[in-house]
Amino acid sequence: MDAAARRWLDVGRSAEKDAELAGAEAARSAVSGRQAKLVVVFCSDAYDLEALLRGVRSESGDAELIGCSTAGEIATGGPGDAGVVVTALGGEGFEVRTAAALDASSRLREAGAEVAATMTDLDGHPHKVLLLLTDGLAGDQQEIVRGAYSVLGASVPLVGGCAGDDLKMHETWQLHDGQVLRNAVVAAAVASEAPFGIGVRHGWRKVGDPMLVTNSADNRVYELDDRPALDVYLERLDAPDEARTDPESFTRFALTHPLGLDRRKGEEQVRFVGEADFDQRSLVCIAEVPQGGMAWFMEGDDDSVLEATDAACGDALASLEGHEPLGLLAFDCIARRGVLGDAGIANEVERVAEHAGGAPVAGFYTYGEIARTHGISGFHNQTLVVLAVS
Amino acid sequence: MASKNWVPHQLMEFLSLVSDAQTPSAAMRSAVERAAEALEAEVGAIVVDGLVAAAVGFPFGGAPEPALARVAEGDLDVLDVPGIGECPAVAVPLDPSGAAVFVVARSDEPFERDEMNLLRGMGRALSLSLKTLGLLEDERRLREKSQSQATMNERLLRSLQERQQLLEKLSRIQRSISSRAPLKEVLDSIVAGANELIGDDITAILLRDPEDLTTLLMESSSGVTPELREKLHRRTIGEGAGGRAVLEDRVVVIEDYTHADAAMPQFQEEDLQAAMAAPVRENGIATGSLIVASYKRGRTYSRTEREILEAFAEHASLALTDAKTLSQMQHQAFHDALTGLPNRALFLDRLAHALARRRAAASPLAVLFLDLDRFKVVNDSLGHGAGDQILVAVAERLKSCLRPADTAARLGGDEFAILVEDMTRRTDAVEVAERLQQALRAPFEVADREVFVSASIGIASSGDGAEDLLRDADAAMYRAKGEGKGRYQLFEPGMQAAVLERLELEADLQRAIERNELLLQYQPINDLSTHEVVGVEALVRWQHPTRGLVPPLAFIPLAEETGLILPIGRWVMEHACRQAALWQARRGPEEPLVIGINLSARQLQEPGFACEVAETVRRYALDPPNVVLEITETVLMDDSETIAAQLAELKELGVRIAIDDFGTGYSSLGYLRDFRVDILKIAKPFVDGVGRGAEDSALAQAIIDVGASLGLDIVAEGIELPLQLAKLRELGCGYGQGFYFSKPVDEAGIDRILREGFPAPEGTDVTHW
Repeated sequence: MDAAARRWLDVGRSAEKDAELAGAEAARSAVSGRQAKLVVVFCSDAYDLEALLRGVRSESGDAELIGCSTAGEIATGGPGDAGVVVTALGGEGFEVRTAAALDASSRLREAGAEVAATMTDLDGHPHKVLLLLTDGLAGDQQEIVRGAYSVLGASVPLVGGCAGDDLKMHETWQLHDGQVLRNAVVAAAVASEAPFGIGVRHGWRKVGDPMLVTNSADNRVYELDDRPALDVYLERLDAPDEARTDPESFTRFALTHPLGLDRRKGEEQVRFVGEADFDQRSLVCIAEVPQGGMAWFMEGDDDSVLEATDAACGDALASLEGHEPLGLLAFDCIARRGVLGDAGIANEVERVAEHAGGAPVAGFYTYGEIARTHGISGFHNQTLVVLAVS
Repeated sequence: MASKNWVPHQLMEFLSLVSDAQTPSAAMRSAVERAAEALEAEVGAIVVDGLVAAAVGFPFGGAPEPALARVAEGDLDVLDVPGIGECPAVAVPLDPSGAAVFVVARSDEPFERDEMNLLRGMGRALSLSLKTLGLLEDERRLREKSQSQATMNERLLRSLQERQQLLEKLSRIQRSISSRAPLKEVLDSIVAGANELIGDDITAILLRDPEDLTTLLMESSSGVTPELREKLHRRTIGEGAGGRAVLEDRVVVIEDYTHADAAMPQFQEEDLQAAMAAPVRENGIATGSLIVASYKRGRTYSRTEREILEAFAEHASLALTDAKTLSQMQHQAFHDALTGLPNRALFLDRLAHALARRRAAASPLAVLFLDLDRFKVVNDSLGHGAGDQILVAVAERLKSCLRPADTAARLGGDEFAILVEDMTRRTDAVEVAERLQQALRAPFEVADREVFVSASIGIASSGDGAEDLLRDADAAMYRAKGEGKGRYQLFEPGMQAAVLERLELEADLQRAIERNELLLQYQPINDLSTHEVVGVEALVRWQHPTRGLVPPLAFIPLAEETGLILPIGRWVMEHACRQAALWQARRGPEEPLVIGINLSARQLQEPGFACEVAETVRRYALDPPNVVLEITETVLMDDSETIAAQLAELKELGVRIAIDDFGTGYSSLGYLRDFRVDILKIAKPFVDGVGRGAEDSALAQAIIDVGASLGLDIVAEGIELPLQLAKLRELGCGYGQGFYFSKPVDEAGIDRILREGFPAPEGTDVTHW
């Protein structure tokens, strides 16, 4: 039997309005009548998700399925909103188990550990990866990663993203087999005969001089360099007038101006600034900003963001040890979409497709990205994570 | 940049986390996880007596206990991690007993010193938390036991419950340290905690007086009356239990206070019965103590109480160390380490704030950009140590000239910037500049000698952006420097363009040699009696592709500053010697032709320069005395040992040394003798005066007399008129050059002159170097 038949991966998409039809259409082109080992669904939360799953499963049968709602879908032909993208993989060279953990927000770590445990059933193939789709609004996502890591240790890379809801920031959905879930973590443990490759890049650069975080608590920054954090932020970045008074304008501005934190060897960790407290003059970030640390404001433009795209794809493909990719999965931060705009993300997806060299591409715009390849930390902000499957 | 504060801030995060843990195992688990995260390590473990108490990074239940135990013992420094392979591993003990050990390993690279320090700090913080939690657990067990005995002793039960609350207080203290509450607040809460927990009459923290290191001050206390406080606020290190704990760096217990030798009379008067003190350390050095004392007769201290006191004292140590580190760190991030002045980042920040205030208040401000003149020479000749001393002294003098509200900053190297705010008049900035230059005028004493330093200053006062203003001041400084040393200049529009122009010229000059744009012209030097050509002076010119012929004054100073003078000088040496060899071959050995080549100070400072000259002279088989190296008086005045050595070596070689433009500088006759100069060239301005009258000729006469008395050859430069020639000959000057004979010409021109003699005299001289 040739390699192609031993392992295959295909992607289908649909922008059909009717949820069931859309699910069926996308799944049909991904599965093409074969027996899939895993089906991954990325879709708009505007759909009737129960109906959508019925449609998908009418084509994929009882193949293991995970998925989530998004802030925009990515597929070979370009990015899209209000649609569905289905990835299917199969063949004897793959082995897959999936799992879901509910009530994630009250037990993040446990949820991570629970879904990771499913990996222990797989021992047939040498290369492994745990694909995680989580509810990004459920709390500290690093806790989920820690939970998964406590079960798997350093031997299995973790990859994935946080579900979205088209920037409404209200409620996101996770899909597992025939079920539509919320506040959940779903995961697919995939084992393969051939390597997986993972690339992680952010594409932001520092603006101006470093500052000290002189007063902060959890994810709230009160003072930078002993001055009100919001004032320093607006001044140093020369924010437009409307962002100085209007919360929505501020959030739009902040989407492309994150905070970078100093880590080991000066590598910076990016923190998304979510909102401003105009009375307290403080900044509210999506994850913790420790007091006493060194921080920078950061910015991105088309070039820096797209350079990161190239680099992430390049890193992912380089780890395939010479194998040809069957396909690429991209978990791309919604903030990067903010920098690039609609024309830019079309360009970005085109670039990813070029790197794939004819292999299909699928992915979505996320509320947070997961990639643990070395070290123990694996949760990222404002980053592009690319998984190459061979 | 790898920041200096990476360690303390990671440590504080860590402390905050482990102090939240409810049980020892939870504390250990989150400790290994956070340590691994902070160090970007794949695996971490805590090994207690050879057994793994907590681990992360291994598949569930799969931690390799024997290997981890060997790393903990120090027998192994790599760990085989499933899925990764061999990783460098390190181990640090949690406390001095060494029973519990922190182990981490990571795949990509070995651990650095900073990271080891962090891990050690984490180990200590974890050990503190475990101690707290251990006490808490003991109390819980005791309480459970009591409860099982139901009604046994209600009073005991209540007291146990109270104590548990106090133990929980210890965790809160850890959190307040980690959230960086003001030091005084943290110390107060430690005193309150120790007071409630141990239950003595007096509890206090004593810390070393920063003004007088032999004295301890009472920083925080409980149960001390104002009168007693008055009496005991200050004590000498070594005095009483608290003083001895610092001196001996250990826990000191005095249980029979009234009769104890080490007791303090003030307390004995108060009828104190017992005291116990534990050292408080800052960065590991005992600098204070936590003390409890009782009036109760027969008071003795149990082992548990001693441990509790130590635990609180260690918390105080942590708070103290952190407060110190934080304040140092804030200083370091924004100050120049050498001079202690604000650095560029802080200067720009203050400037930006000042500009914002100016927009509001319309009060003028100015930025002065100050650059030391000839500082590189000082550094090169006296060494960097001396250079640093001068920079520190300059910083001091600058500060002394400014009002407290003004900012002086060191931007780097020998560049300083000054921000002057709230000026009443625009001329204030000029006054400040004059004051600064005046302050630098007195000599600096370094390396047992006096060094004179001057500064060029640029001033800018209008402009909206901090960066713009600094850039303008820089451009103005540049102009000031161009006009001579020790000047100041106000920024004017157009200077920026001049700076750009200069940058362009510099870039072009970089390429001039490789593009073959340099050329040599030669001016004949004649015997004034016979009019015969005895030599030529080689003069470099730059044929710029778009600017045309660039005059030497427009590019030689630039070349000197940028160091391009070295390759240019080498090129000149090579081509001039080659040409001289050609002419000499044509003339034959009976008719020696001297070649004059100009040198810059930079060339003479270059080690190996003399060897290079020797090599070139030999390669072209020139007779060394026919090679004359021309230097200016200022080169001799630089007084550098390198230059003296190079000149001596050149003399050894047999080439001759001429002093160019003699009379315009301030050289002493001693130099002429010390450096064994061969030739003096009279500067053109003195030659111009010759023939106008006795007074105007006097200077030329003096130079010729000096030359004669030292046995030197004299060459007059810039001879234009027959009268000058006649008079110079009369005064005893042997040689001359100038338009009277010939302007500088190309090789073909010299060929013609050597063949046919001189064409008719023409025009005026041009400047040459």
